[in-house]
Amino acid sequence: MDYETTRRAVLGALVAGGTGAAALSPAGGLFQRFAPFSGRAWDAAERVPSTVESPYGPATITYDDYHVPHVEADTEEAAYFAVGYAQAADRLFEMDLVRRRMRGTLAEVAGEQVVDSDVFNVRMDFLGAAEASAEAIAGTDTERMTEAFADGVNAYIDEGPLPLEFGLLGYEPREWSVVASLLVGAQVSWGLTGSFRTLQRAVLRDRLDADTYRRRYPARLDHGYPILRPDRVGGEVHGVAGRGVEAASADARVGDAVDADFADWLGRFEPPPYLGSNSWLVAGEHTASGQPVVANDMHLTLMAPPVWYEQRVSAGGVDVRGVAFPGIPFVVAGENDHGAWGFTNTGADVVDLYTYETDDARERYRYQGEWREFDTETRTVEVAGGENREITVKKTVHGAFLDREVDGEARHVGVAWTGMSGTRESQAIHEFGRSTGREDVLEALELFDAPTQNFVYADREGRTLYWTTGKIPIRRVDGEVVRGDRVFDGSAGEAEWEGFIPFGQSSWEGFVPFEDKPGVVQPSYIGTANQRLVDDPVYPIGQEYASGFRGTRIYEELDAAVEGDAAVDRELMQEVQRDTVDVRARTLVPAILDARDRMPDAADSYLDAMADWDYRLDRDSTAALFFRFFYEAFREETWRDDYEDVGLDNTYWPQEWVLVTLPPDDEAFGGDRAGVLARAMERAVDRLEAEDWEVYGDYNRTVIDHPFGGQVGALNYPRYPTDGGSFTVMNFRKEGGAGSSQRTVYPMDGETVTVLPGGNDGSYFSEHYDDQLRLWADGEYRPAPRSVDGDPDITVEGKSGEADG
Amino acid sequence: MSAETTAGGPDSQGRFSRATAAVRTGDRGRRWLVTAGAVALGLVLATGHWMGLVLGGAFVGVLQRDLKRAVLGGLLFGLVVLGAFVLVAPRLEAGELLALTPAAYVTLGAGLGLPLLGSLTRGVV
Repeated sequence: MDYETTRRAVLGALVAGGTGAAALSPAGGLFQRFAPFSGRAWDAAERVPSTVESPYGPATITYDDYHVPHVEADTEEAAYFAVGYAQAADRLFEMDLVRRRMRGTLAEVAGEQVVDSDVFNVRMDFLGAAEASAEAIAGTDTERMTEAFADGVNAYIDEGPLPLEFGLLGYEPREWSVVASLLVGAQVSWGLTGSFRTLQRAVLRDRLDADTYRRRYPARLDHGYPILRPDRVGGEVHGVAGRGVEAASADARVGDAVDADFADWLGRFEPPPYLGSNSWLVAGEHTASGQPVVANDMHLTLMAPPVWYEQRVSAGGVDVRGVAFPGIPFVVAGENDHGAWGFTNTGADVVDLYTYETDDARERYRYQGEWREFDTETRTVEVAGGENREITVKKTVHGAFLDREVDGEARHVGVAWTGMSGTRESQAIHEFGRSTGREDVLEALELFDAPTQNFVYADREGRTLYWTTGKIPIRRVDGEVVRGDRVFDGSAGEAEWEGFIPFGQSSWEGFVPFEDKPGVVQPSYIGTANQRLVDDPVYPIGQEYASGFRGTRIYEELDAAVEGDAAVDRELMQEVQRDTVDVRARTLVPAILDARDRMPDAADSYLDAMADWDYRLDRDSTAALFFRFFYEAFREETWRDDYEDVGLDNTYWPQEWVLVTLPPDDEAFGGDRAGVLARAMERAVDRLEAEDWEVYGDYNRTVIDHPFGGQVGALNYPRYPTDGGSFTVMNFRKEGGAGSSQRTVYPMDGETVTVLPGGNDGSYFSEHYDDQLRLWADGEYRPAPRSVDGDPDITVEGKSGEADG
Repeated sequence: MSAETTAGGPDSQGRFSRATAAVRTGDRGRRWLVTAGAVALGLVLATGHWMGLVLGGAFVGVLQRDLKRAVLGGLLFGLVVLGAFVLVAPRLEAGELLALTPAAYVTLGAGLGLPLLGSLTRGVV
């Protein structure tokens, strides 16, 4: 064979072999997704089709300057089809991610790393809970609108370019459905009320002596700013017993102590701790204009794209604008022609835990003197690139049954959660949008079965309202009402929730009656920030509330505004939302300065800065930067040894209110708080000297990432300096990845302003992917008009003959 | 089948070889023109499947006078593909694409490497 022939053969083999090998190897799959032009991932760079056909009738979608869709139609069905189309165009991947997470099918596309979460969610049967909720709203207008919404989503899946993330992960979404929307609702509810705190408390009560436990985990934090201050709030107050102190305010009682490893295992599946929010309203009697003003910023996970999707829907006499969770058709918090409403998390205890006597095979459990089979079902968790898992889902009369071997011993707990029943909150939020004033809203609130929330409302006629949403169980043991902060004896049927049917339709008769939940008709002003609701509720409400730092600041500001000469208007409410005073610092810094003679010389400049500090966590503050790291060291110095001695990690440490108010001679300080402060100071100085930060804003920069930003860094939002911290009204929790998920102020006689921590369009290729982030970081706002100019961006054409829907 | 056999048979191969050889040895203007046609055809094929990039590179390559020029032609075709891709995609900017690693590595690698691979066909004909 001559050289030329050999050369041809080699090159021929290279071309044919190279192409064939690429086609048959994983490279071929990558080329199919990412090759220029033909790669499926790049479909996301195409434009959304500007017309779509709908069986529900015509509608238009017009985006405003911040890519907020204004959906206009003659009928609500036609509008909600268009809402589904718009949400899918902008957030389909986010919607699908939540659906997969709650169904326990995320590992099917994301692989081994999320298997544990999938298995937990399957065993909790969130899908069964969503199906029960679908049954609860069957036959209502809400179901019809949600069906139209699902059809709109599916029209987009059929016709629109799929978001980039589907190409990156290499899968396509399945059809959307009513149950899928309700799964999103279940995630929200579990995220806000899911808790295994009771188990942690049981472990703590077991490991600490009774006095220490009581001091560090008091039933009530003694700040003076509960949400409901009967002597100041005005209006018609509900849910206060009039006894002066909470009836069941004793420290937690403990049933069967539960193993810490088991509690820690379940703790891994708890929603992130301390998700909170701020909301308040001031009635017209205290405002400059004579009309009420409502302010709301909800603190949730900060992520790219944001947890909220802003939308306006105008149809059938309803005109509502606000934020919805992607996948939920309706505005959750927002305003319409008649009023505005907002939420904060209540912290009510709506999860109870039970233990049972079980047989040796663990196939039956004892219940009220009889052996019962577990309600059992086998499901498969599919795992991309890994081994699929066969999961046995077990249930008892109370709800889910979670078991696990710990050190060769079987541990278990039965879980009852109000959200496991059919719940109608989707109907409630739909009705909020349709409401024509306070009376309509009060009626809709009775449908709001979950989650438990502090709800504030004002209408344009000057009426105001505060109410607690959600079903709250009443537990009785031996005829006495008790708190839910212990593990109950499930076999004895102890403290069961009367009228509760998990994964079915509850009658709720054993729950706190609507009129006995904390509420006020026509409050003159009220502030909520996840602190305790009221000193003296008719029934026990919560197990653990926020420390009250934000609640304190909001009331200090509102009290001063109402009592002083300041004009209470939108601008003032924006100022309060931007408040960065850290009450921890205000409480602790005097003690730090008092201990100055024990501090190292290297701390002098920081101590000088703190001496002149206004306790604000502002980006240009050196004192704020130092306090941030001082406080972290102070916590460590105070708690770490104590808790390591009893085998518990930092997730068991007390709340911050407890730490900053501990007496200086408390045993946690070894009787010498000044010494602990000095050691913390030394650590903080060492830490800061190892870093390049000069002021708080050098450290306190936004970290708002995409769920797959670890793999594709470009999807993460840029980093900007910002103000505030975990315990300030202007809220940003850098380490926790949480903070103000929106900020909105609704004056009832003026222009609403708002901002999102990112952008409304979830497409990486969109100019609106992160166009609000800088505004958010800087504490600025933009208008949120309920009208829009210009031609529609998307025209929904009604298909003739199918419009009956 | 018979038509395919005929199309891919020795006669047609011979005609193809003669035609490409004529382009290669013909005047430069004609070669540029035909190469431009090959680029256009390659772009069209690339919109349907990534193998279109290999084919596009091959079409450009076989029209060049030697293997070295063919490889250069394949690379230039790849650059044209990438440039056109960024220009044509309605919402894609070059900076956004380049930032989107590691997916962008595949895009750049496929955009340049597959045409180059195809261009090696020049060494076979």
